[in-house]
Amino acid sequence: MTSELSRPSLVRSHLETLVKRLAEEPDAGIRDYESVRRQLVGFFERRGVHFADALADETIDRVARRLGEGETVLNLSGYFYGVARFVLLEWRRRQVQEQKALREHSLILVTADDDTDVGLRDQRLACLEKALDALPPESRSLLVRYHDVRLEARRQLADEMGITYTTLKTRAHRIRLTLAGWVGRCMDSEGL
Amino acid sequence: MTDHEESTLPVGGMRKKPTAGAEERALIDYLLGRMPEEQRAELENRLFLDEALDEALLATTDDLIDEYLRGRLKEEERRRFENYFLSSPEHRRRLEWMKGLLSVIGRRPAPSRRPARPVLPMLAAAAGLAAVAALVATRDPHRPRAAQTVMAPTPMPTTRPSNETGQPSLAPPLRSSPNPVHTVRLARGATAPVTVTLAAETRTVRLEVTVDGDSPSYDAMIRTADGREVWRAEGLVPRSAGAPLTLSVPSRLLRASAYALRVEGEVLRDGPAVTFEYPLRVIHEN
Repeated sequence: MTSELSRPSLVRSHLETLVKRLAEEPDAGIRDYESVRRQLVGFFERRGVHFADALADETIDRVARRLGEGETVLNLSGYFYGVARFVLLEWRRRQVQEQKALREHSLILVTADDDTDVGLRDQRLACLEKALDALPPESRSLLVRYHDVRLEARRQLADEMGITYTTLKTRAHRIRLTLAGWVGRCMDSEGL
Repeated sequence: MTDHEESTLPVGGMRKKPTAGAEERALIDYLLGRMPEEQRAELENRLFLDEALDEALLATTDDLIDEYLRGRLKEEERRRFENYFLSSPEHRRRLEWMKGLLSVIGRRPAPSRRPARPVLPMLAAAAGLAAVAALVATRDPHRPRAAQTVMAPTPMPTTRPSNETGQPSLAPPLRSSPNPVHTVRLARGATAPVTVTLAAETRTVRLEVTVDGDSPSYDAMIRTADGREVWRAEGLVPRSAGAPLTLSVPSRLLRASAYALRVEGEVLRDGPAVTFEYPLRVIHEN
């Protein structure tokens, strides 16, 4: 707990208020600080954030501060979810701003958000092609077929593969997540 | 984590194990803003605690975008997608990502017996971030118009319904639309507050802002009188040269109060800052 207090934005009394409030929660998923932090790290990781720990801490700091300042929060999990979404949005904006600033200084940098630049978009598509090629054949085949067929035919595809539709959907999502990570690295380094 | 752990989605106010179809429908309702408030709060509570459900939401988000890009959403869903779903910067970013992915996949031969399909019409038409704004703003002339347009001309902005050509008409002024989208045009140089009258049915306020063509993109924000930001969108581009910048603002964010809309053009190197401000007065019609 001491390390959290080294964060300048976190005041001890606010943290204590949060910990006390967590202990009162009926849901075991957020009855203590570490479980909340785990949920938050997962939330950010599932959205492709590399520094999930940092954003999780920032979210906790903000919620602790609000609680410490006396804000009434009825649904704490929902509140954490809302603040986490906001922190993610701010982080993405900061990322875009920083990358724009660096580009103005002629540094090689690209951003997935800046699609107003045709060159960047082309580069992203080239990276996507490379990333798709780099996937294991069965993953690539699954993804191509998943997005090639009509929604109702996906159930048929799931049947062919001997898995449930939900499992197929989850697998396709995880492959896209992997691709997104590779594309990000490809654009940073101009090569997979 | 396994391929798909069972989630506990609140359906109809009860926490129970839903079928895959019911879960997907509920998540689509949530994404399109069709879920009742109480159920939405409960879902967000579960999304934080239930990893599998959160992952299902992300997967459903991509599938919904896929359906939209292929033009497969029903009319009501398409409207909600453009007016509600795309009001989130995160969703607009995801739309761009999916456009790229589907474009790359569309160029590949399908690994199944089916022949590869040609590039999809909506996907082919979509190009870059500019298209995001265009997709939000585009109206198909063959579809019945869902929105009523109100002009706020210079120098004394007043609100008047317009005819189909966009010209001010002589229809009674200051009537808000019974439609879910309420459109207000803001001309350059307007300094008096523009009244935005929202009906109970209004879900989205579409602000059309006249901008110069010098800036490659624009950021827009709405603030309360005391400077608190209630809405923001970045990287917006008019759908064509000379066209107004279209901002889709969820009406739930706007209380009956005074606001300031600020539009900032992206500053080119050594270029001057381009900023427009419009005072707004929001009235709820009840």
